[in-house]
Amino acid sequence: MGRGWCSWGCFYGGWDEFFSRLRKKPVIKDKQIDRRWIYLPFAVLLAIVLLSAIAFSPIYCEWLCPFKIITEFQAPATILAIVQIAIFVVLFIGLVIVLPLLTKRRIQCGLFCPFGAMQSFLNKINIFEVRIDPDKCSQCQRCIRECPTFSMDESSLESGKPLMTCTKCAQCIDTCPKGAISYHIKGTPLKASPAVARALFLYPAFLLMSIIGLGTVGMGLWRILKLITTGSML
Amino acid sequence: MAKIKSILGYIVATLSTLIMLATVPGVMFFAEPLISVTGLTISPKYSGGEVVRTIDHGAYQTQVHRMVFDALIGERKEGFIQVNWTPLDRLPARIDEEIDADGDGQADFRVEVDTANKETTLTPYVSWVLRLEGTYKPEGSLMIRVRLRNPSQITR
Repeated sequence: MGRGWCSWGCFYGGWDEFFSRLRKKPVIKDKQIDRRWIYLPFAVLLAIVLLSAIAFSPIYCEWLCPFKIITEFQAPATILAIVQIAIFVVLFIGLVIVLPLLTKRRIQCGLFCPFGAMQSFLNKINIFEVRIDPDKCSQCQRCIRECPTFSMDESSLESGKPLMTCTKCAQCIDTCPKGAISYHIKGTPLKASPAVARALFLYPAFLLMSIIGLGTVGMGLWRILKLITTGSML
Repeated sequence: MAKIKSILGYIVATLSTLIMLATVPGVMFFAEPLISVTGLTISPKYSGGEVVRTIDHGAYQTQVHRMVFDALIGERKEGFIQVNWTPLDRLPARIDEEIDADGDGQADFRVEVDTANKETTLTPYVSWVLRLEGTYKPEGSLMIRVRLRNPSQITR
């Protein structure tokens, strides 16, 4: 899947995605966002790898994960815990709620998440990719404006493929008015049947989504039902 | 050559579905053996290190782990020792025990634990036993971790 995990499996990314879809139009427009921010996830990845190796401790989990407040809210029993909770709350509200709302982009995923950065390297060896047919492309740049993780830019239109940070969400595919963008299997001709490539990608993608999601959703619904009927989720 | 690459591409793409089917549900079954083959182990920071002494009290056991000062290179100035009492349902209401942390036959600290509410009192006997880190009840046992200064790094 390469970085397809981010769009088809990641339950954290789902939060980003949700808030990025709430508004009809962005308040902070694409041109106001400096593209150099897309290198931040790689910087965060390098920093946490080095710091974690030195400290023998999961630095990202202990200090930087925006989703700690929804998975492991710890008791504010010490000053250290209060500082950590404050960091998690600020990161979650800022990166997952406010900025996606204002930009209509997946800010946490595209501009912060080090796991996404790590998986971007897997895109290099993954068999599936997104390609742009230069014969069909009208350079309207709608794909650049729509890509939720800033993985499309002018260089993508020239090279015929998005940046390595592409999460294969297919938003560019859906939005392209000329049908110039499609899933592609590496090694096959560029103009090989996009429908076949799409099907071969979507089968494992939907499988991943179902396996990860259905169990969690089922468990969640079960616990809600228990809460309603017995007054306790446990 | 182009045709071979194309055929290989389609084969790998098709196999992705089978790999996904095998990997995601199967990860619970073969993840542990696969990781063991690599020689990777859980950091003692989480596992508490190996059990070096077991004291049998009849109904329950005390498991004293090794002192953990592991660092990326060498040892840290401070670390911890983990002590487990198991099984949880056969522990007395109160545990009062002296623990030999470094295995020299001399008790290094005394711990008193109320097993119901986890209230714990630590009495160090040596200067390198610093403080109680916490009392926990993971998976059917009662556990404490005690913060230690590395005795091998104490300069006189």
